[in-house]
Amino acid sequence: MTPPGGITATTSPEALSTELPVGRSTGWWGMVLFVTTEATLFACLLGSYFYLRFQYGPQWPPGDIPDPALLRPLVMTAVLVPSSLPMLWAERGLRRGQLWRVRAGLTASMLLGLTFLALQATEYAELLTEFTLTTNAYGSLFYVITGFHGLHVLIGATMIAWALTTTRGGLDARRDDRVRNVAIYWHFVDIVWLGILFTIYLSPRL
Amino acid sequence: MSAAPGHRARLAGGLLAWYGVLGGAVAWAVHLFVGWGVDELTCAAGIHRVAGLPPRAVIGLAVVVPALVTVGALLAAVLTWRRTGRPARAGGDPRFARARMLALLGIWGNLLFLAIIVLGGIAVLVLPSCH
Repeated sequence: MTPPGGITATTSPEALSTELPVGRSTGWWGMVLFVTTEATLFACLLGSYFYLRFQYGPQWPPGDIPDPALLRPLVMTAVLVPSSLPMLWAERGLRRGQLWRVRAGLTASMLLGLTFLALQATEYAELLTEFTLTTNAYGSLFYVITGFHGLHVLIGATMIAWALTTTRGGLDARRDDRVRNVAIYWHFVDIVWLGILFTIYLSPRL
Repeated sequence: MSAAPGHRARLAGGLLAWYGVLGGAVAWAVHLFVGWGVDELTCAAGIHRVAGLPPRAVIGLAVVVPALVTVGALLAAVLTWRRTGRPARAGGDPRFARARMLALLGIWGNLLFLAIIVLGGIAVLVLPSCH
């Protein structure tokens, strides 16, 4: 017998209560909702940047602040964005039950994240001699947005370290779930950086 | 007893229920970015036409279309809430109670977002721009 379709079937209680996506853990839903709220925060910050930029007038960055240098942010991008690849590799390792692969992938992602933070620290050390958080609206936006993102990378690296610690006893459904949730957060942090790269470093040159 | 719906009907039903929960929030976000963005940017840049239309017409569309999307989401949420009422009260499968809870969230959320879009739209359309 062919299962019924059409409007009547689509609006039946069984269809309307379909679990979509199916079979996700409570932790997965929690992480997805958390990432959604974080994405909203970053959207507000980047929206504020463009709002103030267009309000400010043609001279942006304002005052004597030069256009942001590109070399270091591009190196930071080359370090952070590919850090999702070992994470994906680790996730595949989870499906195959390869503990060594999971741990190697997590370690590589964490090291790339920490390298990104070290590069950001050198950038701050240079820029803080030119302008600070209180110099003007641009300074506030620059340090709040990049600093907030750097904090997220630090939290992500801490989460990876925690996931690495928990996998010392091997893999099981609960530990697999932890690694997958950490991976969601890490991919999110990487994607957000691309938005920041465009907004903070590239858009003043357009 | 009626036969279980097919895979496509379940997928469409699940998506319809999610539209009822999240449709208003997404519509409000689009309204906020497009409506207020056009208002602010056309004023700052001194532009009098956007894609061949006066800014007021674009802002009007950015109010009316999201408001209609939100009304649609509200109807989808009400439909989900009503249809899952009897099986949820009968007990047994917790899926119905969960869908009903999400639908209730959607009803109140969509009413809130509809009010925000309409009141925000009135503000953008009634108040003079560039002040």
